[in-house]
Amino acid sequence: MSNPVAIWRNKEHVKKILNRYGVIVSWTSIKIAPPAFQEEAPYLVVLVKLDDDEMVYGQLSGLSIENIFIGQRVKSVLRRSGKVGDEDVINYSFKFVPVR
Amino acid sequence: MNSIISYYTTRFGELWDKSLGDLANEAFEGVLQNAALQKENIDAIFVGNMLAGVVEDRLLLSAFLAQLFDTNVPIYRVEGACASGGLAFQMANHYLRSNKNSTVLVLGVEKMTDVSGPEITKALATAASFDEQVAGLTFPGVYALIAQYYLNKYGYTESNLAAISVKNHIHATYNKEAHFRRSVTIDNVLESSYIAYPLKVLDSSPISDGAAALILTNRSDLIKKSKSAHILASETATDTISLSKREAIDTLKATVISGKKAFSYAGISQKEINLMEVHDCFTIAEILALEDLGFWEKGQGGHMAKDMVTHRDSGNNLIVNTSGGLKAAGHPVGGTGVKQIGEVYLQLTQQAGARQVKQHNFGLAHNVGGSGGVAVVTILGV
Repeated sequence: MSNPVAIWRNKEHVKKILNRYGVIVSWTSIKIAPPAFQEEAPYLVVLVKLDDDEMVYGQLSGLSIENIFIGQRVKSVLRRSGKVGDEDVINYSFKFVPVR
Repeated sequence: MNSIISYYTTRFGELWDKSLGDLANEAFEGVLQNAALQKENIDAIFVGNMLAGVVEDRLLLSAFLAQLFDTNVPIYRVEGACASGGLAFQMANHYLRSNKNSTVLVLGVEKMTDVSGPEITKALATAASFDEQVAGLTFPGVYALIAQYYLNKYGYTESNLAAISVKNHIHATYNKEAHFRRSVTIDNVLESSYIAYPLKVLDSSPISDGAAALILTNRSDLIKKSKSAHILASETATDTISLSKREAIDTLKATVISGKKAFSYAGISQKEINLMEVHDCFTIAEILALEDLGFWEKGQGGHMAKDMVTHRDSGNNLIVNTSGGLKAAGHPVGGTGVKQIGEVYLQLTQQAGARQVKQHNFGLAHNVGGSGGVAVVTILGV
């Protein structure tokens, strides 16, 4: 997503998910990535069940393939997402981090 | 009754000397020749294609193909991601239900190898939801989430998945049109590199070029003079595009619904099906297909896969993916659904050559779009 308008529109969704807690329902490590995320690969993507039962995807920071597990409690935080596109807009989205 | 009277498939693979038009034309001419029909006998054409608009900047396929085939009949392009071919067939079957004494051609075609790996990965990810794309999820990535969940829930390992790949590669060694005609071992699969953990290269169907075509008719004169298979049912259902919005992670509801509808319409049960082509875009997908179509109990698929109970030499009464499946026969996404039905047609009419299994009366084809947002289940009988 490099279109500035689409990034701006998505901020409402990002705002709703920020600073919420949940548990990892499933996870994967993406090795073959689409062009916008190639520089970050491999990266972890998790499917999280938030405490109000809403299910959301997000990338995960702070754990690796060796210590991530289903059932891990996580929290959503604001992070930069993907590479800067032709429009020079830096996209911020949420990522998850583990909660001890 | 609507029947299939002819089938043709191009080779599937990295066909650098063939364009989208070349592939479409070969399948179009081949299927007419196999039926001993002329293009003037065809009343309408249904085309399954996903990516021409994305990777080749080519839309209005109907006019492109009209020029290529030198025809003015109605041409309907159908898009349902990897289920485009099955969906085109399903719509063609409906067309015949509404039009007496008609004959239609179903073509599935895809050209995928003209662009780089990251570009085709991005193109295929257009069948993922917005939230999946924003998270950096790829199409294999979504199936990897399903696989990880399934393995963890039922206590299986990656070797349970690998067995599906081994079986389908063996089946493909009998298929001269297959993308890969070589067998692999469990160790080969487990040692292949990860695409999206826990799915590896050899858990995944390849990026293939290819086209397949069928001729369907309700004209009794054509049915009588041809090797024909009756279309007992061809049913489709939809579900959320995003896996995160589904009722269950390890069940494709679209498969469950379309399967139930197809069995009900055909008036037969799972026990009467001896031959199936199911959508094994990734190894986990074949396990889910057998469970969601009601052949295996939920959660038992891992054991069944490891025991290779649907292998052609198993001696059992249900053989799955005699073509080699998407995994080894190849997966030109728009072509796949048509090839699956064509393979069942060849088997039921005893035209499958080296890969012919024993005579059966009923066969099923199962085609999925996206990560389960669309499914088409078709049942044929002779």
